[in-house]
Amino acid sequence: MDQGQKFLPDKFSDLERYCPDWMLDSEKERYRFRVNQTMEELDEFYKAVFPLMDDLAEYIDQYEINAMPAKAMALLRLGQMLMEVSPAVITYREPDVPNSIKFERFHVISPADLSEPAK
Amino acid sequence: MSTQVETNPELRLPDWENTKPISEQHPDMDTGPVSVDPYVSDEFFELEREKIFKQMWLYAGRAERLKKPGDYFVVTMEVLRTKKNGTYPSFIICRDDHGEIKAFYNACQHRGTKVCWDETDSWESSNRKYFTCRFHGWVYGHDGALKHVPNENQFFNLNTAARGLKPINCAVWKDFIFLNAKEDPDQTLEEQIAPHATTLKDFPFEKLHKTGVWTVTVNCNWKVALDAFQEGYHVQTVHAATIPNAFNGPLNPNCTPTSIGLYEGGNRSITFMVSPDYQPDELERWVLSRGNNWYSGGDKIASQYKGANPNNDPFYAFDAHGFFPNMLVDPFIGGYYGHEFWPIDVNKTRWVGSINFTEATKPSELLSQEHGKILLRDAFREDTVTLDASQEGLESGAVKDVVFCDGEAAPRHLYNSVVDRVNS
Repeated sequence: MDQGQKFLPDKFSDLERYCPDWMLDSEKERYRFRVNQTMEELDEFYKAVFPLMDDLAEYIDQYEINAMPAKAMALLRLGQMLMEVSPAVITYREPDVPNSIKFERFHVISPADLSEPAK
Repeated sequence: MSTQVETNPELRLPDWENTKPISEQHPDMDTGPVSVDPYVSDEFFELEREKIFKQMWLYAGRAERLKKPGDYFVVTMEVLRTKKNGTYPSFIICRDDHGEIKAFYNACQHRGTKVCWDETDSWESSNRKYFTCRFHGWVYGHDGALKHVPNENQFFNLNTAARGLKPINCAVWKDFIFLNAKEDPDQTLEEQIAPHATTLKDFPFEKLHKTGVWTVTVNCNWKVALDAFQEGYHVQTVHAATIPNAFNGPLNPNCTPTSIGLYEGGNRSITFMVSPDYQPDELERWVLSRGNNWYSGGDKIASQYKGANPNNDPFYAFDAHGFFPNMLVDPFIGGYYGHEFWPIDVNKTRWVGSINFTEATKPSELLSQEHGKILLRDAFREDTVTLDASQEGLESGAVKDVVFCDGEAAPRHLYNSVVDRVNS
């Protein structure tokens, strides 16, 4: 039986279950995705990824920033997703910002950060 | 648990006992309540449009968006409309073939139709060899000159040399592009922003680029929106969820600015401090071990950001420079963030917020930057939720005047400066 595509290097196989759903290319997508998860899902993601952050940073820093192969890009996107979920997990304990303007009114128009999206 | 100040006695404390209140530093500034009229009156809003916005340099965008000749973007400036209930003008800002940045009214000189229909609520730029009107195909160059008119000989004495795109005054300061709709502006750009041009002359804006950009149309007066971002009194309540401890602490529980400059003509500068007792969480410590965030950890690279913390205040977090009328530029060690407040109506404003960092040189820097970007963005979600509610109360008839405390000197200065200009 086909094992299916592996998005990440073997060292990070524990995070394979988050691929491809959590490895989103843009801040806009990651934001929308985060506010639609449960607190339990965000907590689990944080617990899985944070301990690997040194290894993750070391792995992606092997490459030039605009020439990262697919597996490095996937790790970058998961690292960025960690940053996206961390205030909810660490500080205010809700998937979306409490006492804040409605999500749909706040438009993210941030530019793309890199030229090549993760494959 | 000892505080940072106890364990590091060499750190200076702001000299709170001997620091005069802001009102004493500026004794000619009044301290009484101010009428709500400038926040709610349609007539006052029209006077602001005529006497302020149509006569001053207004920020339009950053030169990083125009890398090569033919690169252009379009901005809409609702506040410059010619009639109270008129349509909104837009402007094409373009890098011409000599590398200069030029700006034009986005209106064909045939029958007035908009030439570039690009989406303006976006940070992307485009490139065109020519600007071609899609109504009858008139063609303009990057210098605005009319290059080609289909069926030209069917016109009557058409003076093509006189029918290029109408220019609008355009000036650039450290990659910030400004437009001025007045035919003959009263001041040069540098004159209008003089105190900031001095303070920030060496700040590396040219090395910084947009990382996060966000926009909301809020139902409040542009000054109400601006004021939400130029005092620290709101931090302990509004940001109780996202930033509960970083700025408030025993030393400065109301987040009073450590320095404030209030300039003739409306410009102003504030400096904010971080709490010395702040304990970053584990993820922020991970970020700080690799670099800095937008309010701490920048000691090693501070010398590269000359102009930040202009008065060398201790526990420096960031500055907020009010570029009169409607822009805030907030430098920090490692970048700057900022705001635009575009008046649409007396009770409607288009807010644009952004954060800018240096180009990341290695992939992990993108992670550190993302951390700061998300934190700031979520704080802006909290800031913007107060705005509609403010305007509702201001227009309700319940309040004839508003009161500003000492730490709210920047909102008072903006108010006074606007009223002075409108009454001049």
